[in-house]
Amino acid sequence: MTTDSVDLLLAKYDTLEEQVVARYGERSQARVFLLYEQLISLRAGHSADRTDTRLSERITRLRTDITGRYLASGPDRPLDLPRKILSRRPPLMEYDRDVFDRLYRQAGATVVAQTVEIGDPVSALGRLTPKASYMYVVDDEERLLVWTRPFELSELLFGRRHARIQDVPVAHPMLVPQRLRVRAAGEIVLIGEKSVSMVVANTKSGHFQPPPESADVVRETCHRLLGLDDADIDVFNLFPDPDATPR
Amino acid sequence: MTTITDEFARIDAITTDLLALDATVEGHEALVATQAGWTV
Repeated sequence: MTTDSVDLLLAKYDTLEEQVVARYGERSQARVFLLYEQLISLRAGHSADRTDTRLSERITRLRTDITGRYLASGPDRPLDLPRKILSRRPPLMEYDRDVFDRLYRQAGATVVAQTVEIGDPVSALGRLTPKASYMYVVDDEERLLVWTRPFELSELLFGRRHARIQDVPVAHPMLVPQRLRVRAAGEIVLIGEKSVSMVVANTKSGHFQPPPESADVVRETCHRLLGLDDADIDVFNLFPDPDATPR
Repeated sequence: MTTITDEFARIDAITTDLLALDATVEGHEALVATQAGWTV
């Protein structure tokens, strides 16, 4: 990107953010979504040319801003949902078998058939589209599993309940139907041209409600499988510490 | 290779998506909500 184009791109995002805040509010999900999309966009630019300090400075600012906004927009206490935390360090969550069989089992095979295991940074981009949001889990065997259908804005904002297979809303437990256990779950975006060079992810899974330690699992997984450094990995945590006092 | 055109096109796509979502009552409520849609 040229110097002028970076200025123009940042200015355009600033203008759109002002419009979004004016129409939807300072703390709106529209603003959070826009900041997240801006981060993906600027990381894509930064991935192609790492020399522009304005991009790196804006990325750093966005990381801090989104971190706070994610925590503020999650629930203020653990929700009463059918999953257990079997371990905090390392984190391991298990979804309830009876509930899964009743609500999700019928569409589970279809989702599994559309799910891939990410094992290296090159083949990952042969299976997934860069800069698109996907549902992922890191399972109990520390595999990174991704459902290959990208999400649209409406699905991201509505909590994905509009994404359906055989009229069943797709949910993270469907990626791990055998044991229903994960170490992390949420949405993931891969960035890069021929190889993954950056990742933007979150722990947005209402079914598993990952504890803060799951963000560390995502970073470790990206180190191990994709060869990335922390500076090139964003992971935003949505859920409060299960043992903390409610806000 | 990522180009500036790609990223400007992405802003345009975001704007289009926001407007389309805002056109429905449910969509507008999701946009102004202060809580994420994590309840599925």
